[in-house]
Amino acid sequence: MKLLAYATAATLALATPAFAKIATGSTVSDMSVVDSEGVTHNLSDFAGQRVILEWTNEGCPYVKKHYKTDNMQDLQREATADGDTVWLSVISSAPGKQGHKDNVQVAQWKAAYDVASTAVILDEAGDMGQAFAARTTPHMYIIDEDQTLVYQGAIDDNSSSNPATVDGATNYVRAALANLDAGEAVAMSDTQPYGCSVKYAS
Amino acid sequence: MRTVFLTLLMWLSAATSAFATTSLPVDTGKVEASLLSSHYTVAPGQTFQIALKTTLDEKWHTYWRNPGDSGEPVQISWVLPDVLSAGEIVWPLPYPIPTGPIINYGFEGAPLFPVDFTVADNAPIGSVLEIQADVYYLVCKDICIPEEGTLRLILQVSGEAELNDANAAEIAEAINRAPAAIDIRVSMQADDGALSLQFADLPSTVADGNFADAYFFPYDNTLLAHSDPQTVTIGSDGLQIDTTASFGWGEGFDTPQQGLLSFDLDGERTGRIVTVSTGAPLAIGLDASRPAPDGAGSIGLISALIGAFIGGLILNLMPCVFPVISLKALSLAKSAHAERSIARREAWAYALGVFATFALLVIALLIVKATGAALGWGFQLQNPVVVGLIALLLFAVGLNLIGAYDIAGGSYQGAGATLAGRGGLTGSFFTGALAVLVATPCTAPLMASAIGYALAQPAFITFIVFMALAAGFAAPFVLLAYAPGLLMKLPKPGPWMVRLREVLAFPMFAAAIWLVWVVGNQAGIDGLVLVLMAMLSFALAVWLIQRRGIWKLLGVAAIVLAVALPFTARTVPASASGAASINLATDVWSPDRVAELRADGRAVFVDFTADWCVTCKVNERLVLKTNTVKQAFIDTDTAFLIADWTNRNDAIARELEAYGRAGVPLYLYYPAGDNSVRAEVLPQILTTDLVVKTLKGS
Repeated sequence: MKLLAYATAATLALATPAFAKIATGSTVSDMSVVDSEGVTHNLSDFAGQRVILEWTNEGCPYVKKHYKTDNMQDLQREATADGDTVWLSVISSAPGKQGHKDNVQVAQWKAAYDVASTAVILDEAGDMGQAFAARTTPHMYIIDEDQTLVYQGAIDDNSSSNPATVDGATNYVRAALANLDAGEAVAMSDTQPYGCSVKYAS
Repeated sequence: MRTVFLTLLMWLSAATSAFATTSLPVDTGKVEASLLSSHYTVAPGQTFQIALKTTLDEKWHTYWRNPGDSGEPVQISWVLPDVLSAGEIVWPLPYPIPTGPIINYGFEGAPLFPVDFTVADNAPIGSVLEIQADVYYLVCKDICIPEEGTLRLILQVSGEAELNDANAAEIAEAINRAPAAIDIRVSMQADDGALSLQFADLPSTVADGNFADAYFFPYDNTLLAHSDPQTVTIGSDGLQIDTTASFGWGEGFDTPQQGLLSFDLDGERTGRIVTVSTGAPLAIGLDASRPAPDGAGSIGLISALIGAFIGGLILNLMPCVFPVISLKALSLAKSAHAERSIARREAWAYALGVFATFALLVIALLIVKATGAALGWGFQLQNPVVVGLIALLLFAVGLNLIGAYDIAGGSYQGAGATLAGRGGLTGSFFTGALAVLVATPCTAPLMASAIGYALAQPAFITFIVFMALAAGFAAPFVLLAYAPGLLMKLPKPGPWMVRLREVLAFPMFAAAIWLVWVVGNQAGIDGLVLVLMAMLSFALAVWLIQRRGIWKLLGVAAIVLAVALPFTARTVPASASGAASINLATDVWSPDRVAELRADGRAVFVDFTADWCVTCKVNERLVLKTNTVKQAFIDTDTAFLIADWTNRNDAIARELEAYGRAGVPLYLYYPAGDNSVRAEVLPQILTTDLVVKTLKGS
């Protein structure tokens, strides 16, 4: 006699389709996204370039930790300095939710924090976030020249929201980029992301 | 308003005493936090509790020790005087909190986080204890706010501890509601992104249907994908949860992990802390046709086959099989010097008998297993009827060997008189069958894990492992028949064979006596007498059958009576005496008893034994019942528990299965003051030295 029961919470939460992440080491499928300037980008446009994705939400304390200390902006500048790496900051907050921004607000935010990403993607429907299974802000992804996902997870190994913890933390993104520059495989390619949850439309 | 009231209360109490058992509340924004102490005054050496109480604004939540997909756990950092030491937070039962596609684990309402404190023995009476807690928590609704605060309490050390009834009651209730640890077997396996966990020996209520909504919260953040559904399958002996593995499995989980199994029991939500290890899937009473995933930690099929083959070889040397085996050797010696083709045919007939009997036993075992009864290898010897019949059979064979009768019409086919009293192929076949029947309970160490492995596998795998066992068992004889050199080395036939055959009757009688003793243990003194009566009846039949006419018919009737008698034997409940002795008290094993004794801080030794298990009896006689060992038990205050498997017992069968065994002996040792779930497993062949060393922890 078999009896099947589903855990309540899981069934409640999963009225939406499964929220499965892309396996590290697999090729990302093409998708087209629109940035805050109204420009449409296809992921396939960036074949041959390195792409870094950063999920962000200005109101989130963990995001603030990295922006108020200039930690995120320094990394953006550092990574894109070679002129051949693309940094996309992605905002998947639904309208009315924390961190949601229109074009003007993005411009203001970029100016206020001296944000150095290549483009800010407006993903208010959450399609791009769901495709990558972005869970937290910040949640970081690195796609290499062959459009292979080579890193996903936290920005560093200190999951506190206290800005003082930025110093002395091991920055996983920086380490992964160093691995790639040296032509090696990424040593830490999959870490547990920390932060606030991405504010999807529920 | 509440804050004002509390502050007022504080002032009022401050007027009477400078000490506070409840801290001033701190409102950090969305949360109002305070500390509660279970005592007004504490005594040196005493343990008491301080709880962090957090009252959250409606719909806001804080996080459990593993926050799930995002978030941060509640954190308390204590600043304490030297004479105080703080324990771990007793976490309340968390809830899965879904927001969109993300699942977090946390709390709403007014969760309490109790912490045990111990006062040093040398704390000066009258001294003041200033206790400070720096608390930090991330509090979220749709957005998250990190909040922190500092809380202070002042207590006094006094010769007599004085309870704050209201606080103590509130803390006690929180501790009672918090998940308690239980010692059940939990195993997990990840395969290609799929994660499966089996929880065995849950409360019996699991199967009664008033158990629902099981959900597993791991302590480790990287064990499973929090936002994926957990599919629960309830079996008769536990449950299985299937979900998605997380990337922590890239490294694997070599050390046991802790987690929380939450469920609704009789409509009330509760939870238990369990320890889960990576290992072979546990049987939880689902239908046996389910393909078992190849979990790490279980022996592989190839090594099981090899182990089974070697085990089969070793079986030939077992004391309970030896008399039967020597018969076979004898008949081979006879045919060695005749036609080699005859020797080969006989060897193959013997092998066929071995294979056929193993196959029958496995099929019977699988059928019984499928019907849900907990059995183990050697089950045919757990039934007094079967044991009685085998005893009768051995007695009959003994009589035949010693020359009391001869079914083959007066001319012995040499000395290879066999079970059915016939020589040649049929005889060889039945010798093989008999050898298997008496061999099975002697699970040699190598065979134990192979059988354990096989029984946990799908039917087909079980079958081929047992066939490997049969192959190993029959191999020496087939080899003998095919190696002319070896055969020629066997001595020439002659009158010595008749002598040897007569001598061999005595081990048969000895084996019969042992089995009669087993029946006596199973079916009491009446059962024992029944079997002896059957033997008498058979002996009479042998004498009558050699007469003529009516006497011969009476003889046949006596045979029928002899065979029928053992069927009237009835199992009586095992007595609780076991291996009791004058100066070492023993106790009957049960999982609860083990837990009870361990809770009292005693070391526990468990002897899984059965009357029909020769190895067990040898170990008991030569090691466990010696004065040296008994003295070691008394010196170390180790509890001696006996799990007697002479008669069928589901709990024992399950425990054996948990340790990957299908038969006895199994010796377990739980050191004192160690709270690991699994016991140390001692070897199947004990020595006095080894047991004493184990007990004394050297």
